[in-house]
Amino acid sequence: MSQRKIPLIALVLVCALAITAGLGVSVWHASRQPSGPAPAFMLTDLSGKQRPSSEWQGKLLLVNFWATWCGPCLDEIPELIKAQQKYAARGLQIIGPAVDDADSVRKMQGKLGMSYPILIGTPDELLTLMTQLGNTAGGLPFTVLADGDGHVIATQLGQFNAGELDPFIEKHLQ
Amino acid sequence: MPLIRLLLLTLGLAMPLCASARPGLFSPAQGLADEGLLSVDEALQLLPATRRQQELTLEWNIAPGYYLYRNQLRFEVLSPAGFRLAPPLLPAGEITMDAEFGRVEVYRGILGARFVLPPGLKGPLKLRVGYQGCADIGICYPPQTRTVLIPAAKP
Repeated sequence: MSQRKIPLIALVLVCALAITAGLGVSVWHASRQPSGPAPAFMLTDLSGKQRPSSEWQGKLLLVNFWATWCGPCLDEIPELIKAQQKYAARGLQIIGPAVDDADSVRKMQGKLGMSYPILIGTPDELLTLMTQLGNTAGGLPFTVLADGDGHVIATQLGQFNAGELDPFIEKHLQ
Repeated sequence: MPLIRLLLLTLGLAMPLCASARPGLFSPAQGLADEGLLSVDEALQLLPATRRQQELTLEWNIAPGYYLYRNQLRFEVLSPAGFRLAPPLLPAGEITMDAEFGRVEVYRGILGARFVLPPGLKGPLKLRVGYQGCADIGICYPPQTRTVLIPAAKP
């Protein structure tokens, strides 16, 4: 093998490895997309009314699990409020189950001006629901997008950075 | 020199492809967890308590990239009844300015909370310990509560 060919072979090998790795990861991600119906739930809103998940059937439902002790959750809430206003006419409904006590949540709802329904459940209830939706670590914020038939389309564990939320929603709007 | 140039070029080509290994926006949560989010007990590991006479130390081993909030630490004596712990001696933490919470103190690495126990408290202890922390990637764990059993002081 001539000395000149060695760099060329190295280049081809590295590119092949990189492409294989990149494609492999993409395929892996696609195959792990959530699918199937979201578990039905019944949670209480801040007025004490029971709200079943079936109430939002037919809408693109964005479920954002949050808490008042979770800084990253609070950071992204202004973007969720804007998104609800921006996409409501196109069928988006945001709801915010809080892993927290009602008093703290009520204060934060007023402070942040959260206009979409805020729901309360016991920590065990909400952690179980999150686990069923794929969040085994129980971290927050955790966001689930479900279509009008209640099938989970996408999930995101962790905060949306600037500019990430709109594409997350728009991809699945009618 | 041409070899070095070629290597740099191939690295440049490989980087964007390798970057696709980062959790994508539409990655399922399980995928993200698999790719590095530790369980809460791995991220914020409460170590076995140590007791030397009337001094008790509780320690956490906090994984790199994770932190504990000082103001979320809670300690309560469950037994023997009627005892209360004085506030622990805590090291200075890292001060950060949070958009929502203002000035907050957080701990990284090893955190030791040291208590001086009341002189009358020689027997075994049962404590309820509360703590809460987050990962730097913008994910927080719910508040944790653990019951810790501490043997009697050795004579």
